[in-house]
Amino acid sequence: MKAFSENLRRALCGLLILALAVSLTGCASEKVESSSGVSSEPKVVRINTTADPDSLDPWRSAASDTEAIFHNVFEGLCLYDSDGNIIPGLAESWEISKDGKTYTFHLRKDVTFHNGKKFTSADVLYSYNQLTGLSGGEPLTKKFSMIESIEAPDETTFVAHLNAPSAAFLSLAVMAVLPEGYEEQATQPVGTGPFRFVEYTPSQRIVLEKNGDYYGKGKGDDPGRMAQVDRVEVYIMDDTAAVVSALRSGQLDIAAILDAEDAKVLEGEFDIYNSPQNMVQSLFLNHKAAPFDDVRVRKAVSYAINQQEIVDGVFGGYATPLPSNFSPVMAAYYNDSLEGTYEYNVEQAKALLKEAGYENGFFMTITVPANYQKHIDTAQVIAQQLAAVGIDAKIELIEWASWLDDVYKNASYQSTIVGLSGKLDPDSVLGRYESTYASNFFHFANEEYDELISAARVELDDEKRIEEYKRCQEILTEEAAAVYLTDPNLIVACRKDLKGFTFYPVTFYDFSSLRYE
Amino acid sequence: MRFSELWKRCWHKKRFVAGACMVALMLLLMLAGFFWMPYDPDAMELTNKLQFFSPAHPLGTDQFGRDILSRMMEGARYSFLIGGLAVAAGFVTGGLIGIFSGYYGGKLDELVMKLIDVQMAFPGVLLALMLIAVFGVGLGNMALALGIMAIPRFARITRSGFLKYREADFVKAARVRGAGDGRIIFRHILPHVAPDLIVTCSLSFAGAVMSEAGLSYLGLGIQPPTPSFGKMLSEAQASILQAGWYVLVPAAAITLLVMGFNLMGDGLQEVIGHDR
Amino acid sequence: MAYYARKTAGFIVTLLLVSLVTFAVFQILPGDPATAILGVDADPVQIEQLRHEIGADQPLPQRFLNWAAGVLRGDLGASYQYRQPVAKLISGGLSVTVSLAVFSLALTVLIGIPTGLWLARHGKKLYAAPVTFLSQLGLSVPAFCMSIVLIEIFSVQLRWLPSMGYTPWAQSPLKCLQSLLLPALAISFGSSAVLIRYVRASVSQQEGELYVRTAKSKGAAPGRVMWGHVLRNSLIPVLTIFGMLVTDVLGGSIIIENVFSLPGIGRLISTSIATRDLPLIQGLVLYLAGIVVVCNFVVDILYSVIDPRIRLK
Repeated sequence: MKAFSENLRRALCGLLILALAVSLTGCASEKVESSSGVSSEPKVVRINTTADPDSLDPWRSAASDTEAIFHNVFEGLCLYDSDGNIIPGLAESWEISKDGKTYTFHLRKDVTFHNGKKFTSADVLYSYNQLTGLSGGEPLTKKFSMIESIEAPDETTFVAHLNAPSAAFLSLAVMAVLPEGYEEQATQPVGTGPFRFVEYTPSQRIVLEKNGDYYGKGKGDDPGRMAQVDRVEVYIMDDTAAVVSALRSGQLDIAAILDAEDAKVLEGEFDIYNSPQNMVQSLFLNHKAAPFDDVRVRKAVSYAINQQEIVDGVFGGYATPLPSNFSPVMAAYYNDSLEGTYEYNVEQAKALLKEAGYENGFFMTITVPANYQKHIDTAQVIAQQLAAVGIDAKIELIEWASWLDDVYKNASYQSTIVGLSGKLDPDSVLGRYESTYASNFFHFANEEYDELISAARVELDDEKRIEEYKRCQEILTEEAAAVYLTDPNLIVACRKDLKGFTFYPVTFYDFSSLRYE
Repeated sequence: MRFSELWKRCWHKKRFVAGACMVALMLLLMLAGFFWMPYDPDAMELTNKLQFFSPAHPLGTDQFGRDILSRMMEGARYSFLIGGLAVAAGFVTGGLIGIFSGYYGGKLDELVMKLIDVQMAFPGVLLALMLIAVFGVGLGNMALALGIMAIPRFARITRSGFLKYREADFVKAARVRGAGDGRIIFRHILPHVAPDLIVTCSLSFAGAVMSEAGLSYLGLGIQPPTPSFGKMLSEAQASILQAGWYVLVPAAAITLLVMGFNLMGDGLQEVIGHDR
Repeated sequence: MAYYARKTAGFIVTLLLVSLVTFAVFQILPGDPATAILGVDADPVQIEQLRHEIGADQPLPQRFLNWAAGVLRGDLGASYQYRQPVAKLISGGLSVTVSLAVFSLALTVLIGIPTGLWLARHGKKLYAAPVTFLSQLGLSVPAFCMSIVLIEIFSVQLRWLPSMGYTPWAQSPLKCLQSLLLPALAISFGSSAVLIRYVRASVSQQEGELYVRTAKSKGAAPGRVMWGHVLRNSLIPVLTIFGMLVTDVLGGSIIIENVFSLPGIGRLISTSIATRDLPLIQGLVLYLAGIVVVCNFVVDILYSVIDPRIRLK
C-alpha cells in the first residue's frame, strides 16, 4: 500500500512537470488575432526588404534597396515608367536647346511637400545647388558634374546649363528634389511622392503612409499615381526562410526576393510575379591576374560554362542567360546578336586552353561574398563545370565588407561572382568598363571601348547612341571581359486579393499601384 | 580505478551502451567513407535535384542533385574533426587554467579569472563572428573559434571543483603524508572533479557540433562545397518548403552524434560516481 | 567589504580590457565603414562625404581616443550606419534582447530546476524515460531548427503566435509576450536541458557524499536531506552554469533574433560588424560585457553566501 502511494506520488510529480510544460506553451498562446489588412480597417500592405536603408536622405543614399522603397516618398524633375522611359515628374514638361546644352524645365504648380510647404523653383534651385556644389559647398555627387550653371527665372521655371551635351541628363534628373532649408532629411525625410514617411525603427521596419494631398490623381477611374492603400509597412528581414514563413502565416502581404523553388510551392496559395531585374550576374575576372590576362583563357572559361545549367540549377529556370554585360530588359540598347557566342563547348574550351599553354588546366580561386547564397550556389556549379576542362576552382567565401575592400576597391582577387544592379541609363552600366572608371575592378582596358563610351555620353541622336552601346557590348563579348552568367528574375509572391504589383527596370517597389480587390 | 576496469564497467550501463552505439554509427559512417562512397560527394546532377530516398540514392539528393549519403559520409569527417578539435582545445587549455587558478588561488587566480571573465563576457557567437570576420571563413578558423568558446566553461568548472576540494580532509591528509602538488592535483583532486569534466566534455562536443550548425546557419560555416552536418543542415533548411525530408537527414545525424556523446558521458559519470 | 570593493574594481578593468580587445580586432579587420554602408553603387564623392561626416577619415587610434573620451563623459557616440546616438540604438535593442533573455531564463529555470531535481530522484525509473529523452533532445537539436518547427506549428499552421517582429511591453504587454514566446521557447528548450543535466549530475554526486550518507543513517527524512543538505551543495556548480547560461542565452539570441526578425542586440551586432560600425560595436560590447560581468559578479556573491568558506579564504 505504501509502495503504491509512493508510486502514485511520483507519477503525479511527473504529470505535473508535463502539465507545466504544456501550460507554458498553451497559456499565452490564446487569442492572437489573425492580423491582416482587411478591407473595413485602414488598408495596410506589409512587405519585406533585405537591409536597413543606407540613409534616409536620398542625396546621401546609394543602395538600390533603399531607392526601391523611398522612390515612393521622393520625386525628381523626371520620373520613369515601368519600361524605363523618362516621364514628367515635378517638371510638367521641358525643352532642350538645339546644342543640347540648355534644359528648361516647366514645373508643376500644384505640388506641396509632405511638411505642407509649397513646391516652387526655389526648391529645385536649392536641390541642384547642393547636389552640384555650385553654391560653394562640396558637391554631393559626381553625377552632375556636367552642370555648369543653374537658374530659376520665375516660380515655375528651372533652367540648367550644361558644359557639354549629355544624353544621360534627363535620367539623372530623377534625383530627388527636397524642400529648401529643411534640415532633418536624415531622420524625418520630406518629399513630394505619393507616400509620406512615418517612422523608421532600425533593423525592424519602415512605415509609410498615403499622401492624401498628392497631385498625381488620374482622370476618372484611373487613380494615376495616387496611393490606393493607406499604409505600407516595410519589414527588414535578411532571412529568406523567415520571409516565407511570415508570408504563409499572414504576417506579410507581399514577399519580395523569393527563391524560385519556394515560389513554385507557394504558387497555389499566392499570386507569383516574376521579371528580369536588369542585373548582370557574372564571374568577373581580374585581367591583371594570371592566367586571365590572356584572352584565350577568358574565352576558354566562357566556353566551359553552361549557362543554362546555372539558370535551371541555381535559379530554378527563373533567370535569363546573358551574352554580355547587359540585360535584355533594356530592350532598346540590348545587343541580341551576341546571344550564343559562347555556346557551351568543352572541346573548344580545351583547345583554347591548350593554345594558351594551359593544357593541363590550372588552379583558380573564386572569391564570393558570403551573404549572397545564390552567388555561392552559382560558384559551386561553376567549380564543377570547370573541373570538366581541368580547371581546379576553389571557392573562397568572404564577408561583404571585406569583399568591398579587397575585391571592389583594391582589386586584389583572381575571380569573383557578384551581381551588378542595372541603372536607367546604359552609361552607368557599361561605363564600369571604362579604363578610367574608379571602380573598374576587372582592370579592363580597351581604347575603342573608351572612345565609344565618351562619344555616347554626348551623343544626342538616339539611333547613333544605341549603335555605340551595342558595339560596346560586342567588344565586351569579343574580349570575354568577364564570364557573363545571368540576369536573375525578381520573384514576388502576393496575397491573392492584392493586385497591381508592377516591375521596373530598376529596383523599385511601386506602392502606389498596389490595391486590394 | 584502472582505465580498463572503468571501460569494462561502462558496458554494464545501458546509457553508455546506447550512446556508444549512436556515436559508433556515426563513426562507422565516417570510416566507411574512407574506403567507399556511392558517388563523388561533390558531383552534381542538376536534372536530378532534391530527389526523395530511392535505391539509387538511399538518402536522396540535395539541391544540386548531389548524393546525400556520400555527402553525409564526407560531412561526418568534418563534424568529428571540428567537434574534436574544439573539445581538445577547450579541455587542455581550460582544464590547465582551472587547475592552477583553483588550486593555487591568490593573485594568479584573480588575474586568470579576470581574463576568463573578459572572454566569458563575449557571447560565443559574437566572438566567433569577430574571429571569422578577421581570419575569414574556413575549417581551421571555425575550430579555433569553437575551441576558444569552450575554454571558459572548462576553466570555470575545473576551478570551482578545485576550489571546493583543495581544503578537503583527504587533501590535507595527503599533504601531511608529504604528497607533492602534482600528485595532489592529478591523483587526489582531479578524480573528484572528473565527473564534472566529463559532463563538460560531452556537453562541449555537443555544443561545438551545435554551434557549428548555428554558424553555418548564419552563413559562416566551412567553405563550400565541403560538407559538414551543420553546413548540410543550413543548406537543407533553405529548401525546406520543397523537400522537408532533406532537413531530417542532417538533423538526425546531429541529434545522434550529440545525444550519443551525452549518453556516453552520463554512463561514464555514473560509473565514476559509484566508485567513490 | 573589501571583497566586494575588489570585485568592483575588477569589473571596471574587465570592461576596459573588453573594449581594448574590440578595438584591436577592428584595427585588423579589412573594410571601410562608408563603403560597407553605401555599397557598390555609391560614387566616390558620396563615400568621401560619408567618411568625413562619420569621422572615418581619421586614423583609428584617434577615433578610439575620441570614443573613450566620449564614454568618460557618458556619450557613446553616434552609429555610422544608423546615424543615431549609440545609446539610443542600444537601449532600443537591449529592451528586446533583455526581455527575450529574461523570458528565456525564467522558462529555463522553471523547467530546468524542478525537472533536474525530479530526474535526480527518479531518473532511473521507466516512467521518467520520456522526460529524459526530451531533455536529451533539447541538448541535441540546434535552436534554429527548433525555431523552424515552432514557427511551422504555431505561426504557419495554427496562426496563434507571430513568427517575426516585436511589440514593446509599453504598447501591449500581451502582444509583447506573444512576440517573445516562440523565440524564448526555442532558446529555453536547449538551455533548460543544459540546466537539467547539471542539476541532476550535481545532486546525484552530492547524494553519494559522506555527509548525506551520515545524515541518512542518522535517520533524517529524505526531504530534509534533500532540501537541507544536498540542494545547498548542489547549487554551487549550478550557479556557475547559470552565469554561463546568461552568456549562452545572449549568444543564442543572436541567431534566434535572426530567425524571428527581432530588432534586438543580436541583429545590431551582425549589422554593426558587417558595416564596420565601430562606435556601435564598441557600445554593444561594452553593454554586453557589462551585463555578463554583472551576472558573474552576482553569481560570485551568491557563491559566498551559499558557501561561506569561499569568502573566508
